Amino acid sequence: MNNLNTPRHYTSGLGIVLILCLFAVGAYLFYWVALRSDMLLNEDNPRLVEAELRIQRGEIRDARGTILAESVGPESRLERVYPFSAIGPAVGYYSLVHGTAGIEEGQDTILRGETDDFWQAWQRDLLHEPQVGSNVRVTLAKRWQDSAEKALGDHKGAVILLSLTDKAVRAMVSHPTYDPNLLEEQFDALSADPDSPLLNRATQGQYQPGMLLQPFVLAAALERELITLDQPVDDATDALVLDSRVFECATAPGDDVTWLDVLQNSCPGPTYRLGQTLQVDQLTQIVDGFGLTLTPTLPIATAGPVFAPIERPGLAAIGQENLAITPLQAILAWAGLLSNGVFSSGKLLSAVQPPGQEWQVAGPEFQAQSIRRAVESDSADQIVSSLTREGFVEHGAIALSGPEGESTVWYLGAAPGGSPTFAVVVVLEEGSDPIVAREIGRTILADVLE
Amino acid sequence: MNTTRMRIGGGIGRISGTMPQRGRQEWLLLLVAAGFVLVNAVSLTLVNNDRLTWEALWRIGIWLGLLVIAVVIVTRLQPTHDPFLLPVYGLLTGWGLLLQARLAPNFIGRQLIWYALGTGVIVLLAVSPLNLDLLRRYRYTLLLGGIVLLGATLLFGVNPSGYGAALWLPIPLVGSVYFQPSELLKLLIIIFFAGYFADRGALFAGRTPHWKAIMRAIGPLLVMWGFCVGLLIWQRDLGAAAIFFILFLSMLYLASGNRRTVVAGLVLLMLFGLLGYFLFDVVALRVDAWWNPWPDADDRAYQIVQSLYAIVNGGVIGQGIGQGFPTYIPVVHSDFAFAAVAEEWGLIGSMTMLGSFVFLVYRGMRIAGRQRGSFASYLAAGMTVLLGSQALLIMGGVTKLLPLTGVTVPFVSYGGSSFLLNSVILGLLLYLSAESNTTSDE
Repeated sequence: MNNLNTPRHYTSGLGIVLILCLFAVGAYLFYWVALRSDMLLNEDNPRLVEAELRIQRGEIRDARGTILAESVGPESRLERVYPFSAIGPAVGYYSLVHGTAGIEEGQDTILRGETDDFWQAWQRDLLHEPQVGSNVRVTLAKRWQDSAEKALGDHKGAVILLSLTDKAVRAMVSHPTYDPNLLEEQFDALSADPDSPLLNRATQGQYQPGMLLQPFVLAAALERELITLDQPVDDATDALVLDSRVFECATAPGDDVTWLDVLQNSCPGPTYRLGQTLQVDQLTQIVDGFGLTLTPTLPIATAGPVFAPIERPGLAAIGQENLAITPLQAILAWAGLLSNGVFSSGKLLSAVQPPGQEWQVAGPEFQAQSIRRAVESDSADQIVSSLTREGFVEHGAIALSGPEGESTVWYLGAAPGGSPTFAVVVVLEEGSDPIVAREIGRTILADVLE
Repeated sequence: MNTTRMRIGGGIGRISGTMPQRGRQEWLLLLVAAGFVLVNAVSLTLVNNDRLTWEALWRIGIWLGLLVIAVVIVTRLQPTHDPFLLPVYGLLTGWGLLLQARLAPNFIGRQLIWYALGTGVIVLLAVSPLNLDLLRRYRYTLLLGGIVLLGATLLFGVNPSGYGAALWLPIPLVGSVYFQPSELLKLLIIIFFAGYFADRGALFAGRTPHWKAIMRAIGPLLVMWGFCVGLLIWQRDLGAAAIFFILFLSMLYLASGNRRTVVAGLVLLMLFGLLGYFLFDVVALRVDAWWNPWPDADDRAYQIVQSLYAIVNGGVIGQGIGQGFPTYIPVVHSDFAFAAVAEEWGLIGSMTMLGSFVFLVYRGMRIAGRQRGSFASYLAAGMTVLLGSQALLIMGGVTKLLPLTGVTVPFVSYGGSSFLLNSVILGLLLYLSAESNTTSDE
């Protein structure tokens, strides 16, 4: 017979050791939960994908309520669908793997239904309520989008249409395009394509402005009383040779050339010399005034300009120096000139519908705001009326855009001629014909005015 | 009901109470367990079907019915039994059924059968007039039988899931039911140790002995034990090998009270571990995945990394049954059931489950301490260590506190052999807990 106390004493000790070991597991559990919650954000945590798949992303609708993007399918496996595949770059895409682009990117927070309210997020998390995003209505009009799409046809470039009354973007087309419904399958090919179909050229394509800048420079010169439109100009039609590149008038003016002729025929020589007169400070003021050195603040993925301080004012005045701009910047500047010289921001989002609620007009931060007077009203109006012909206000421009003589063609248009309500910018890449750009612009404006 | 005041204290702590009071405690705890399981079963049905279906709940009815019958019988025939063991068993098995319904509904029917068999075994052992002396006397025969069965897996072993270590033997005549001899061997080695040490008397009388004395005292035992561990290592059943080591050291400590022997044993374990690390790929893989799983997170350490995500995602209060994503962990219903608990019931749930095992260890050691005979005492303590160390190894494994060993959470994870083995242990502990059964050695 053993000592009775011995095993009893040792069982207590053994039990305590075992229990302490189990407590260590408890302490370690506590460590993971309390101190390592950051781990949940690791990319390989499948819960992130599960959570993402359950987000009931809001719809994107056009100005008339036509659905441009929606999420469909079972609650735990929602899929993003785009009923109009041609709308590609404007609406953009939402992909679990490849992220977001276009309006999907610009309005991501609203569409996802993200909230800054800690308690609301906590409650949603606690009750496993699905994250439901708001529907958004944008200012794009499906039918004008179609019209612009059709007019641009197979040309590589971009079109952007703006209504001048509220500075709302009504159409935005970029070619070559892609079908967002097929993004997952085609992404690798699309991103490797040298023509960059994934790029929304309307808001992200950066182009040399070239003679596009001429109306703005001339308006500023009128305001500063450096010129008048009926003033004769010497040697206006002489070709300008710079760095072995030749710049000539787009169309030949008649005899006795005035500044009006220089403008209407897009002659580079006098504009170059005017730039030298204006010098760096004043030219900088002009491009700044029309917002050409800043990234527009639209709720869509946008690119800023390529910009470096002006060094050669003559070249800068004919848009061949250190500035490259996007079509969105171009149309906002153009709209500024058409609106008596007052530069405004644009508008893309018109209304938001939070889950289970009525549509609400988008907040003031989404409305177009008058930013500054870029030129005096009188100077702007003189330029605009000079550019009015055949029921359109229009200015065509060519920019040299490469060492091999590549060129970009711009068309700035507005209609109706007397008091324009819509403006359009067309940009075509790779030496296209200015007449083609004009036809595209005019077709769209005519469609819109119908 | 007998209202005589009874002494039921002893060992760790000491509580006393009247018979009806103990009965009330047992029923009250059972009610808590039943409430928990029922609420969760209803939640799961609602999550899965958006409405309540009886089809989904009848299994819980069977679970509760059997549990109530077990408590009634044990209370009637063994009134002085430990009143806490059955409610904890109820909580863990009910939780286990919930987990199977949640994670691997295909297995719930089988798990219910194992539960029914296990509960039957518990009741049978708890109320029968057992002669434990037989176990003690035939310990060599029993252990050898176990070793033969284990050896048979080397020749005829299969793995029911079709891959992994072949640790199972098919049971003849019963289609697709398998039996894992290493589970039985765990109990047999405890019986062997208990009998061996009970016959030797107090080893070394508390003094630090010469190594020759140690070898004389435990030589035969080391041979038997070494044979078992050798077989397990041969089979790559690391979990069982680790448990055998823990059992060996625990029982040696119980018999000798000599801490240095235990420390020496732990050093030996580390040396073995180191040796295993360099000799066996399976050991090296598990240790690497344990020490730094992140570089291999999408390959060999996938399971443990997913387990950690589940634990962290559970937070304090958990995602709720059916609402987390524990199924990203491979074989979650068996080896990683605890990670699923942590995700869906949170820290509160995982601590409760952990606490249940702490409580089982406490009650088990208390029962061991109360035994008047050293064989029964060693047996109870050994079985308690087995229950506790299984929980420790797997819970420590899924939390990355310890390297992973394929052990199940007793009564919770899917696994028939281990369920039955743990039921035998609980039945024996219940039997030993009854006042009248604390017999002294002959």
